[in-house]
Amino acid sequence: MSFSPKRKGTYEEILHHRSQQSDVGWSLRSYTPPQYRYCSPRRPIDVGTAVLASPIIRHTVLQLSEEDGSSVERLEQEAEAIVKEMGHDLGMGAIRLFAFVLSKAWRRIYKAIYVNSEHLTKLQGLCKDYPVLLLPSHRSYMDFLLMSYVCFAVNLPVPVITAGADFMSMKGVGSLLRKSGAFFIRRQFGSDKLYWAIFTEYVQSLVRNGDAPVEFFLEGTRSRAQKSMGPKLGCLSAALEPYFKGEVADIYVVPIGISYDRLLEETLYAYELLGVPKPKESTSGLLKARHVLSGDYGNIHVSFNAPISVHEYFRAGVDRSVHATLPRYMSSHSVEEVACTQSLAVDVLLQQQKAIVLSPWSLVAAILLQHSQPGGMGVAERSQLEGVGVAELAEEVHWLKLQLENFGGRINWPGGYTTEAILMDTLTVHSDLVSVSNENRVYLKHVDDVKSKNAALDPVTMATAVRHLTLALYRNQLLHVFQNLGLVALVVTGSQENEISLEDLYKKFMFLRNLLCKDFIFRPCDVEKDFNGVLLGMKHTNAIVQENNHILVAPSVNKCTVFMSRMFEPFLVAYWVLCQFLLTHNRASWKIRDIIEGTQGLEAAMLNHGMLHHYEILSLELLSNAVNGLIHCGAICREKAANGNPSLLAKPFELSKVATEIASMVTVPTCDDAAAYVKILAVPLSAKL
Amino acid sequence: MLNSIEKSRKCHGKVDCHSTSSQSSVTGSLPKRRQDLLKWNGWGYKDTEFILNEKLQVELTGTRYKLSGMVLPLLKDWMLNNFNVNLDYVRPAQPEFSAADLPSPVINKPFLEDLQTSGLEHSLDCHDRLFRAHGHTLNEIWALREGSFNRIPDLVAWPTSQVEVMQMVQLANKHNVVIIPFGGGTSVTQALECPSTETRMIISLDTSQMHKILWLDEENLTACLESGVTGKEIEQRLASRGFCLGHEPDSYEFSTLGGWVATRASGMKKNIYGNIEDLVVLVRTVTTRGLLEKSCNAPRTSSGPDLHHAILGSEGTLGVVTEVVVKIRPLPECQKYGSVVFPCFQDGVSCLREVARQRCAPASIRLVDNEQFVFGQALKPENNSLVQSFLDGIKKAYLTRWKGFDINKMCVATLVFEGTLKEVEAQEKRVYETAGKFGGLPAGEENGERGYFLTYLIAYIRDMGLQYGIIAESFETSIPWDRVTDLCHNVKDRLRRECKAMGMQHEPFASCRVTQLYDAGACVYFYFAFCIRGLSDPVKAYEEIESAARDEILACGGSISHHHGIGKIRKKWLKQSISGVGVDVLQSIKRTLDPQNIFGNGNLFDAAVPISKL
Repeated sequence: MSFSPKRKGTYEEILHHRSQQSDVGWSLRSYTPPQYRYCSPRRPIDVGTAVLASPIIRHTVLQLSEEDGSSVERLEQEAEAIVKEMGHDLGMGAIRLFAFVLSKAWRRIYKAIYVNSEHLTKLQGLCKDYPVLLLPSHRSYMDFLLMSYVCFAVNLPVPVITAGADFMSMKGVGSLLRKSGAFFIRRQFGSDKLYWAIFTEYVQSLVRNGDAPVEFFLEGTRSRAQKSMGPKLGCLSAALEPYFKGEVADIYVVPIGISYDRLLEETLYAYELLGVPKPKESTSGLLKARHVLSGDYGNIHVSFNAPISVHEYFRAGVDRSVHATLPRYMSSHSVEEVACTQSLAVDVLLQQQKAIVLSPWSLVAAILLQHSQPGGMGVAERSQLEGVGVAELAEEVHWLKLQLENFGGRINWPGGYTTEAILMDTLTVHSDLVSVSNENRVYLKHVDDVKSKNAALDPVTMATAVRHLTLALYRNQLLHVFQNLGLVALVVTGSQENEISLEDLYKKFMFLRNLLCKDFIFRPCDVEKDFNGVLLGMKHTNAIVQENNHILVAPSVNKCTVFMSRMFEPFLVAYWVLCQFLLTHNRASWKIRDIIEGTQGLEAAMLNHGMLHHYEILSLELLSNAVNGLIHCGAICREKAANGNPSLLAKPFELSKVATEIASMVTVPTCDDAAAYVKILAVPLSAKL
Repeated sequence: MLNSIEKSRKCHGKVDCHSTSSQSSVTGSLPKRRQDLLKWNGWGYKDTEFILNEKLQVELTGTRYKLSGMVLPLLKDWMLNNFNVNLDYVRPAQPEFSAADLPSPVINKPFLEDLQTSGLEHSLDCHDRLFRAHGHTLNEIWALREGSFNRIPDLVAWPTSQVEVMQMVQLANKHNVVIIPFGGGTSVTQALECPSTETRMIISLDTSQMHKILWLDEENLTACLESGVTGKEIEQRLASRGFCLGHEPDSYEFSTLGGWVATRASGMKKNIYGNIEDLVVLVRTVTTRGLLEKSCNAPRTSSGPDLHHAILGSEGTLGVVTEVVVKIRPLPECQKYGSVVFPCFQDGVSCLREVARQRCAPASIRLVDNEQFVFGQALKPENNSLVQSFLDGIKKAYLTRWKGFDINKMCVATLVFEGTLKEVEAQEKRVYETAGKFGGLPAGEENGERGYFLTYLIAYIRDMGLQYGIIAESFETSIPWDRVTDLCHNVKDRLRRECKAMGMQHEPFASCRVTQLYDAGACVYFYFAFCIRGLSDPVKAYEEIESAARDEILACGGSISHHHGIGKIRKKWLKQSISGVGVDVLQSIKRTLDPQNIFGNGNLFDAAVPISKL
């Protein structure tokens, strides 16, 4: 059966269905993308020259020379070296080569690459009139090759792409990536003023002249946990500056959601999240990854969202004329511009999420995760031992799909097939993780023992964690749909009362939004709107029952709210353990790494003792978000230590308040287990600290 | 080939001969009943008009201009292509108003009695009053053609000297009557519009009968002129004595010296002669508190803030400019046009910037963008000579094939050189050399000359456009050099997108030119036109679009106006432009000079004074 037709709604398949069937012919075809009307054509190398000659770089060099007495020549050489290290070398030769090679490779592993066409015509027109920023979600290495490939396929200009400098050192690959439009920036350049100036001018030069669309990833790095991360504003604010300074009439920002039925990096991510060191991006590493080039990776969906006009977006909030009295190279962003940029970034992330087409596997993963927990949906930790019946699973999947659609999620659900057929298809794609027995039962596959450098984590725990986390990656992809619903569900299902007033519900909802602000993307100003919206939806689907200004608890604890609260429970549990860790260790100041590793050790111990069951809480990304969330809530304080290094200060009163609040919503070990704590804590921590 | 001054003057018109003597007995070029000479509801002379002749070709009637009587075979198609208009769709102007169509005059009886006793010349005639109820802002012309007025001046007065102006102002002050000074009537900022809320009697003080050259000082190269004299008159009369003023705003056929002072006007040839603020040596202004003037004709003084600058740009809110001592120059030996084509607008701007950097600008240098370049080509008159059109073909082929110019991107700079033969030659050499560095190629005198007379004809063309449902207007700004190109691109883009947002099917004509060079920046002038078919309120649409364009200008770092002024249409941006403190300073000057708000035309800002004691 074919789940991958040429056309589905507004989506068009571009890998297997094209008018020109031969890959050679296709990659060498005449390609005339639209060009920005005020672009003066130049070679990639000219961009660097223009950057070095720009007023801002000349100014920065002089200023630095005055500040620390280093010679202008030396600084200029340094600048030249930075530009050389950074520069892209986009050429059609490499693009056509990639088009050819990737077509060959991807056809073997992907059933389809779908691109939505609804905004493409408009976007092609916009490329002629305005500079364009392509902002895709970033969840795989593949994203940027894929984006260039898609642009080539749909006759959009191939973008230049901001890439992390770690790719640069890969032998041969670095220059190939440059030729396909990548330019490299260092991950950390902190207070290096010269580097910062060159980087921003490089981006702005590209935007101003509109050589090509500029593509970068708002999240800064790949989201290993597969849910959006908070935006990094450096690139975006640099790219928008030409608009603020009136150098261009407008800039269009295109949020793009990319989703993969199956990730090339799925186990790699699970390991990385647990802190097993990630292999440095190396050519040989990539070659080893070649074994992935067989196997079935399902579909890819690339969803272009409606382009956002920066001018329209900023029209009310920003007065560009404030830059009129300073030379252009000097003006910086106004307070309003910074705020609006932040808000735009969050909106783009939300739009990316909205655009993402989920795989049915995300539903399966969410369900299997709950099955693998004691008490989850009434089925004990069985999926590994006894498995789950396909029919039973299909029923659950169908139910969750309805919830997803009711709350605005988009899912790849081919029409005309039964849920079971779709389920079987997705199980086949993920046969590395699950197997289906002859009796039609689904089993999670065994994972080999994993060694961690955190001595507190034993190999068996780690193996279980890898299995859970791999599933959690796919479940995480759908969490944004339910993020508000889940918070309401947590409050409702945790309530000991008969009813909750809307006011109390709102307060607790706010508390959770604040606490989880680093794990999920919320617009802070939309709290009330989101709250009312989700209540409306929940009432409509009978997930909650409201009378006057109260939610009736008994009828509101139902399949939907229980499922949703369980889905979000692990997050709160992790935050709770982190609070406990800090509360039981009295230290004047902390390094974030110590908190995270210590908490991870404590979690491992509690998991080993059966006090906790969510293995995914061992994720370092989750714990790091927890620290930052607690900072946001004021339970941890940022300080500067005597030696000038940043350090963290735990605030016991606030921490225990947070812990108590969490304990009122989800099941955590009770205080009776206090004795157990001490015993547990003594083992790993004394060993370490 | 060098052209003589004779030729240069011809290009502005075949001169409707007035006496060229400077004696005080001559009549000015503007009669009291202006509507006898000039159109009552459009631009310029009654006998001059663009029409569609029986062959459906555009023709300029009359005999005043170089193109008069000629057919412009390309213009109609240019219009059809650029505006999606249909010649069957016509919006004829309404017939001339009769007294019944106009608001009846508000009469302050004691004032009128005093006025009659004084013997000052005046009129209550409705057409005299209507003519002075407006300038040439789009909405004013629209009101004349298709709308109506709810407030016009109640009386027109024609003082003939400073003494008579003082008498008028005293009477008005005594009886709390409003005076709106009226010069050439060419304002494009609604500065002449009567505030609709004004309940007092409004006098239009027409300065046209004060057009004498009071004296001319050859030793100091100065002349004292009355404020009602028009630019063309000044040049004609000075020329007969071998001098010139050299102030040539686009409206100089009709606009007056007093108007220039009141709006801080700028002339095309300011690179040699300076703008109005550089030309004045002494200004006499009649205020309600008496005469504001300086004590000597010294070239520069340090005596506190220069009070001339309180009057320059005051837009009729402080008093009546009556007499001005200006600098004059000997007539240049020769004048010559020229032009340079550039591959694209940015190259042209870079060249102008370099010319400004070297301070080698000729009398005038203007860079028009591609849209206006194409428009200029459409104004080529009928070619009777096959040889000429053959040559044109060669030129185009040479540019596009050999030099790689893109006909959709190239643009042209037009040039006027003035000076001695040697100076002009040297200037030409230097400018063309500089242009060459930016890919510019000399494109002949004719292209240059056409560019300049387009300036004088554009308002006539607007009237024809209105006939076919095209409305057009111009606006301008000044901006630092590094932002010129971006401003041009951004404002044109804003115009196009605002039109689209209003549901217009066809792109508007949005075009600009860089018209003045300064050390630190340039003046940019925009033309903007669109077809109004399908719009319920075209004038309101226009105003909203222009307002958006001005916002864009300010956002790009441009000024609120370079020489048109504030009037009423740009009042809302004044505070942003000169700060709240700045507005307070202007307010306090206003309060001191005119506590009763006699000069109550409401320009610049709303005067914070009690409006009426009636």
